[in-house]
Formats: sequence, C-alpha cells, structure tokens
Amino acid sequence: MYTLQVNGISHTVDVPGDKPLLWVLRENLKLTGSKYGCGQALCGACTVHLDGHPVRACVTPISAVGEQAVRTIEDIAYDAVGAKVQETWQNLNVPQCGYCQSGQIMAATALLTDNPTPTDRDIDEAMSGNICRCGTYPRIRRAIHKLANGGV
Amino acid sequence: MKPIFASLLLAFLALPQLALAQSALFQPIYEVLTHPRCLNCHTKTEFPRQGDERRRHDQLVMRGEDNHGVPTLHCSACHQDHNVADGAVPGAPHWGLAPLSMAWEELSPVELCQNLKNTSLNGNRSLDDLLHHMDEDALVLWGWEPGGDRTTPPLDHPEFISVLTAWVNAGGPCQ
Amino acid sequence: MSAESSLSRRHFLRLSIIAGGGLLVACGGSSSKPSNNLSPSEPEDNGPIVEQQFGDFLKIGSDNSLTVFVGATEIGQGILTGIAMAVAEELDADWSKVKAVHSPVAIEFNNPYFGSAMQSTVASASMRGYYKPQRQIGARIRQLMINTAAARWQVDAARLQTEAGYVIDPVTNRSISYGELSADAQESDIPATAELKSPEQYKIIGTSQQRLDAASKVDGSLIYGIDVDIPDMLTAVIARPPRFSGQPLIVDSNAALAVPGVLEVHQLAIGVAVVAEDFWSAEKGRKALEVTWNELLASRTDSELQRSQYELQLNLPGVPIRVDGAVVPAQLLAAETVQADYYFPFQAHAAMEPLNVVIDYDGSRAEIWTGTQSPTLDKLFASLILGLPPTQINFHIMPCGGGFGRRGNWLGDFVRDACQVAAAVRKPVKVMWSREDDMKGGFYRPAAAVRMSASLNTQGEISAWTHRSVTQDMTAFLYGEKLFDEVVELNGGTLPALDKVTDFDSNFVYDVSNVLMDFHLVANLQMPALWMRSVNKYTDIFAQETFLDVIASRSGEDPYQFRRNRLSEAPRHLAVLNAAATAANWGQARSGATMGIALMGHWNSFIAQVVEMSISADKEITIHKITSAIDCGTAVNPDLVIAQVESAIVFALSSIFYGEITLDDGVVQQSNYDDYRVLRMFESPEMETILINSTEDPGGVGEIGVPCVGPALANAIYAATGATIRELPLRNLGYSMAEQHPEAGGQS
Repeated sequence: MYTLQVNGISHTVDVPGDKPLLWVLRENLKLTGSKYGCGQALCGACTVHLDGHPVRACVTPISAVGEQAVRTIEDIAYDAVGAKVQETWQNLNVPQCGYCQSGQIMAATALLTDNPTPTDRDIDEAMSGNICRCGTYPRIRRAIHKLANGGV
Repeated sequence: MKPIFASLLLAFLALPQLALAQSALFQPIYEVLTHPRCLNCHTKTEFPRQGDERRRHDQLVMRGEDNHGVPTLHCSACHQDHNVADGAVPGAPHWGLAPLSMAWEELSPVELCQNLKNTSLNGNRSLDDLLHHMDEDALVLWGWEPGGDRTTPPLDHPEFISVLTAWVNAGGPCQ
Repeated sequence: MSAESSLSRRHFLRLSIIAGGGLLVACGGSSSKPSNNLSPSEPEDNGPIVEQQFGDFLKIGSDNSLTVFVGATEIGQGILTGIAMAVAEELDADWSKVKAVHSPVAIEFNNPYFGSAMQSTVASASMRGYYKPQRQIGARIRQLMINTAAARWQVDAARLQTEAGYVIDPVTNRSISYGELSADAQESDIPATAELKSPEQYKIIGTSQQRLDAASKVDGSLIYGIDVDIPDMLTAVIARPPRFSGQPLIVDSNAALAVPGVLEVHQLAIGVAVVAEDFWSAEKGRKALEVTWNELLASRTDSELQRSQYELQLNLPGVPIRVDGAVVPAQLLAAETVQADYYFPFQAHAAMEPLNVVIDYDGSRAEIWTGTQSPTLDKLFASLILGLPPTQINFHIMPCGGGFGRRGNWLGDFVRDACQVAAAVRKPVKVMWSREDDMKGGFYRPAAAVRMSASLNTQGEISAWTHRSVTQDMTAFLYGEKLFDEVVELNGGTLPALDKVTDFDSNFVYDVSNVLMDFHLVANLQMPALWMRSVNKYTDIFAQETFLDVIASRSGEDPYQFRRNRLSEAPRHLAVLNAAATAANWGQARSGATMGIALMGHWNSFIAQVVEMSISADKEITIHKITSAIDCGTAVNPDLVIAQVESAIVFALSSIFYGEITLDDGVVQQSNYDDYRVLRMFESPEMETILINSTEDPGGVGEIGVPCVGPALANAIYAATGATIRELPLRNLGYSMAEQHPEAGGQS
C-alpha cells in the first residue's frame, strides 16, 4: 500500500512497489492526461512534477515517490505559470495530435518557473527530452519565447 | 647543427612518454577506469555520454551546476537509485556526473593516476579512501551491474579491488 | 506570361514561424476549463439545451451551438477543425459555438475521394474529398433555416439573410437564431440543393482559426484510444514471434500466470495474449512467458541481402507507369547518358501513441474503440473475425496520437489482432502495444532502390529521362489476402481499383520530351510494408530532385534557374519555385553557407523548399533556415496549413538523418526511440513558410511538406562539398546534426 499526494489530494493505492507512477496515475487514479510513449524515459510524454521538478513517471517506481508532491497536467491550470503556458499553447495552435503536449507543457512550465526568460539554449536543454513526432517544436519554441517576453 | 637540433627535438617530444612510463600496477586499473561505464560520467564536458560508442547523452542532458543536471532536467528525472525498465534505464544512488576535477577523458595512464591521487582533485581522498570508495560506493558498484546489455569493465569487481589493493599497498605508483 | 508577372498578381500570405508577426489566431469554440482531479472534464452544463439533428452531419442546439460530425480521423492534421469550418462557412454559423466530433462508422460518412466506399484518412484526401459535399450540407441547412424563418415571419425567403447563426430580415430588422428555429426546422425537409458561396464571400474559410481541439489537448482532458476506460476492463499484451509470420508452437504459461494480476494466457495464431488486471502486470506476465516459436514459414528478410537484390533488379525493365515520347531512340542518339542509383531503407512511423484497441465483446455484440485512420475496413474485418454482422458492432473512432499512415492499414492488422484476443477473452479488454511492439510490429515504409538516368544531346539538353523504382507496396499484401476479397465483397465491391491505390508517378513536370518511368513492385508477403507519410514520394522525389542538380551542374547552371527554365507547362510549380527562391534570398546564402532547392506537385498541391545550411569538415550540419512555399489551392485554415508544413519538415529531417529499420535474418533490430532516433527540440531549425493564396479547390496538405526537404538538403550539401547523397539516412554516411539554435528564435 502506498499513499501518494497527487494534485493536492491524498490517495492510497494497493499496487506492487515497482509499478511506475505513470501507470498508477493512469490506471489506479484514472488520471489519463499523462501519456505512455516509450516506457524508458526517452520521449517525455509522461512528464509530471515531483515537488515541482519534472520527472518521467514511466520509470519512477511508485515506491520511490514517497511524500513528494505529484502534480500532473490535470492540475497545472491552477499554477499561474502553467495556466499561461496552456493559454499560449492554444493561442499559437501548438498541439497537433496533442499526445506529447501534456509532457511538453509540464516541461515548459518547469522551465519558465525556474527561468522566466530562457534563451534558445535554455529552451533546448529543458525541452529536448520531450519528443514530438508531429514536429511542433517551432511553435513550442515560439510559445516559450512569447511567454518569456510577456512575463510570466 | 640542424640534425642535432632535430634529434634533440625528437627526444624532447618523446620525453613525456619515456619519462612517464606507466606503472604496471596501475595499468589494469586504468583499463577499468576508462571503460565507458566509468568514463561516460567522468567526462570533461558539460554533458554526460552514453553507450559504448560514448555518444553525447541523447536528450541534450547537461551537467548543471551541481553535476546532477539542470533544474529543468535533473539526472533523477529519469535515473532511479536502481536500474529500471528491465535495465533499459540505468540507475544507482546519487546518480550524476563526477565533478570536472575528476574528469578522466583523454588522460594518459600516468595523468589519470596522478589526478586520481591528487587530493585537491579527488575530493580529498587518501589512497585508503579511494580503495574504500571503489569497494563500496553504490554508484561505483553499478559499473559491474549496469543492466540491459551494457558491457562491464574488463576486470570483475573483486579482481578490480584486488589490483587496486596491490596498487594502494605499493604506495600508488604512477610510473 | 513571365514568372514575375504571374507571381506579382498573387497575394502572398507570409507567415514566419519564428517572427510570428501578424498571425491572427481567433478563439475557437470550446472553452478551456481545468478538469477536476479525478474525472475527465465534462462539457459545461448550461441547463436544458435541446439539440436537433439535421441529416447525418450536424446538430444544432437550442443555444445556437453547432456540432459537426466528421468522417475523417483527427490524427493531428486538424481535420475536425477544417471540415467544421467548411460546414460552418456555408451555414453561416457562429464559429465561436462550433464543435466537431468524429462521426460513427457508416456509409454516409465515407470519403467521396475513395468512391464513397470507405472512411479512410490516408492520401491527404480528407479535405480534397469532403470539402464540397460538406459545404453543400452547410448550404442546405442554411436554406432550411431561411425557409423556416420565412414561414414563421410569413415573408419571402428570398429577402432573408444569414449571419453568425442568425436569420435576418433586413426589411423589418428582425433576427432569429438557428437554435430558436431548430425545433420548427425539424418539421420541414432539408432542401435538396442550395447554392454555394463564391470564395469572395467566405468569412471563415481562409481565416486562421484556433483548432477546436486545442483546449482539450493542453489540459490532458482529451480521451485518446489509449485512455478509454470501461467498467471491468482488462488489459492484454501480445507476445509476438521474433520474426514476422512465425507462430507459437509450445507455450509454457505457468510463470506468467503466477505473476500477481495476470488472469489469463491465450495461445492465438498471431502470438500469445497475456491478459491481466493492468498493463504493468500484463507486461510482467509476458516477460515470464516461455514460448517456442514455429518459424518454418517465418520471414527471413535481411536488410543487406534485400538491398543487393533490389540493386540487381534495377538492371531489369519494370512495369512502365509513364511513357512520354521515345526514350530508347533518344538515348541512342545522346551525346552522353548519366546514371545514378539510390537506396532507401525501411522506416517505422513511430507515432507517439502506441497502437491500442479496446473491445467489449460478449459473443453477440461488440463495441470497439480505437484511434484508426481506416475505420470502415477495420470494422469489416472485426465483423468477419468476431462472426458478427456489422450492425452488431459499435465502432468508435478515437482521436489518434499520431498516425502517419500506420493507423491507416487497409488490412486492419491491429484491430484484427485485438479481435482475436477479444474472441478468446469475451470480456472488456484493452489490447495494448508497448513501444517495442509498435517499433517491431512491421508495416513499415518499404525499402526502395531507384535508378535515375538522363541523356544529354549534343547541345547539352536533356533528351531522355528515366526513373526506375524497386520497392514493395502494401498492394502486394492486399492481393495476397483472401480476407480482403471478402471484405471488398461485403462492402459491395466498390472499393477503388487497386491500381489506383498505387501511385508511383513522381509527377515529373520538367520540359523533357522523352520520359520513361517504370517500377518493380516486389511481393514479399512475409514482410509487412505500408504507406508512410508522403509514401513513395519520399524516395522518388529525393532521387529525382538530387539527380536534377547533378545534371544542372554539368552545364554549370544554377539549380533554381535550371528548374525555372524547364517549367513551361507547369505554372503552379513555377510559382512556388519562384516564391521559395525569393523568400529564401536564393543566391545570397550567409557566409560559409550554401542553399539547395527542390520542387514537387502532388494531389493538387505544389511546394518548393529551400534549405540553407553550413557543413563542417567532419560533416556536422547546421541548418540555418528552411524556406517553403506552398500552393495548396484554397487554404481552409492557413495557420494549420503552415503547421502541417512545419510538421512535415521535422518529420522529414528525422527520416533523412536517422530513419532506418534494419532486419537481421528477419529480426527487426530497433526497439524504441533510443535506437530509432527522431528529431528533438535542439535539432529543429528555423523555418519560414510562404502560403500562396489561391481559390482553387483544396489540395492535399498533410504529406506534401515531407519529400522536398531531403533533396533540398542534399543539394545544399552537394553545392558545398560536391558530395552526392545516394542513400539515406545521412547518419550512415557520417553526417550528423549540429545543435540548431535558431538565431531569430528570440524575436517573437
């Protein structure tokens, strides 16, 4: 039995300790916004925040989460930066298939929280772990710059 | 004059290798320490490497100020304290890059040996501390249980410790 | 007419991706509301909204909302938004109240492009096929609303106007919303015809609108196939043979069944299904499974062997697909003939959402949820495998986390696999593919060999041009499938002729009198191949457009001028060529950089692309900029057309630098995004896309941005170093990609 803090709510789940956080979120807690893409931390579609830091939920065993606060895409609108990121993503038509965008938005929110005026180099370092097969990178970059210039 | 100058120059160029001929005791240690499992995170670069081909880490992973990644992509975003995903994602406690002072890339055996012993570079470790570190540190031990189909250093861990012990007992000769 | 004058009359809509200035993005119809913590977001409840359905394609709510049913699948290209725009335009709907949803799988929603025989979101055919009929639907419902208002007001319908969801009587200044009229309107017949607007009357078509699904794609609330969750649902994974067409011989399931959570193991023709309470348990169970495979008839396709076979076949004449003039006499009279051979490997689509299907099958009826580009055929296959009439199958088309052709398999492989599992389980089950299953699962872009030749007469002009391809197409599979015959028969035998499906012509348009294109369609039934975004154009345009630069360089001609001077019969090609060259400042590459250009037209769209790049001594490439000019006829939503070109460029660069699936004695060697690399953010270059405004019918947009990127880059490399690129991916030739930090990135 593991007790988790997810989006400010405490949940207790009865799962094996090696079950990744991603699958606990998706299957046990029915929070399907975080996506499965690779299962090996290669694509970033499963990115969630643990105590504010982006992590790959698909390789994070539930036993490693402990008391760290888990935050997912379903809750990021309640974060001032996250809400701005979502709004800008919509306004610039960033998503295409949209499957990777939960992870992209979690990564971008972490970036802009840590560094409100990232350079292109900063953007590349923060976002290159998140694959977008539709190739929305130019718009992700543009959205982040827009947020940086608009002040988050 | 000219031929003499040339031969002097040649002798000078050859000097470092002649003068710094490596210690036979250190050579097997060198071969372990420069194996990709060790060297990929003992880089002199601002980023780690991966694979036996030692390519730059795929996700544009960066060293960061504390050698554990940048705030937006910590090493621990993916690497746990043990190997996961059937070994596809390697992991060990305090997974991260070695500090730049402990960068071993492109060092000759003698240079690596000297740096290894240099307490201003090695985290103020005595030879005994080094032996202890190599014997027990979980991240060092990971090199021999790297998961997946990763190769391991040329000596197994007990062999490595025994050659390291012999080197330490001999006073850590580099030449 | 000179190129300049034709160009100057065109209105250019110039959108720089990086600069971004002037891009108007209006608000879409759906409101963004963060969902609560434990359930997917629900539509906002505004009290008793009554929706009236008109025909098959739309519903109008008492709140004046419009819901459009779309027969094409949303795979990221924005088709739900695009078709809704076409309908809303002719209906004069209030765009802020428009929603779009996937239609049921039914003949009414079949794409007219495919002879109205099926719903199939392939061949960049959705807007091409649905544009006119869907506008007619909108226009007819608009007329119905006018007629209903005229009856209510007792006035002549001819004097009434419509605007943004209202019928307006300009004489009395009265107005009434469609929502208010919708109940009355149900009493009347929908007019059989109605006049369509002319392009200058458009208010929605041709404007850049926010995607209708944008909000649900940024808050995690959109339910993809993989997110479907139904009561008592189990999860299954399938252990598949290491080689295609292998079969399980001996299965020891004891260890698998001992894994907590694993409930059942089923030996099937295609493999062994492990059924569990959840995905993690199913995966563990599969790893614990011990299977001996029967590989007597399994595929032994080997990449190296296949390449040498294809290269041998290039020496033999193939089936002619285009014969202009007389190539052989021209070759005999030629001063010289130049020849070059090309080779391209298998590639995986690698869409972000691994394949998955949810089936609830109890023996008498079935409900299926899956992200698919080919729902009609999927459903028919399901009915055959489950032994149910199609009427007993409720098939839900789900939004797809990428498709690129992989979800448009006319053989329905993933649905058929899932049906086999469901037939054995007879409980609600989600059949999941892991990333590794997806990567190793076949149905790749087929490998291809191409031979180009050009014969030059004594004046140095091209007197003959030949283009020969050796490749494998899914057509070979279709012919090989007994089941497919049954499906075609079941569907009334109206599927398009199979030779129409295969389109190998590269649409070579340059002024050359004698042209021969032929191909060898290799049948390898054990090696599943499929179309992948831009299909054979990826390989054939690469060969054509790089070979053209080699020929141009023999006479010292500039590659742009060389093309420009040979397009007397292709004005739309010429216009995009000029537009791209102008926008890229052709001939004025920055210091140390070179440019390459490539051109093509297909499916009523035309594109020219210019790559400006620098290359280091150790073959590291920095792409400074990729400039595209596209004429896709009417751009229904210009911003989404631009987005498709951007998308195509990134997709193409992944293929060009990295894309390769290799087989070693039948075993696929790649498994995940580490050994099958795709482009990442730091490799994404600056882009500028010029959209040429046109009122021609819409052409295809989803694929045309892919094929020219490779040859334009290779031509820039050729210009810089003289090296000819005759095979891909570039990684195999020692080329690598530098970090591409776009210089203008900070200016938006």
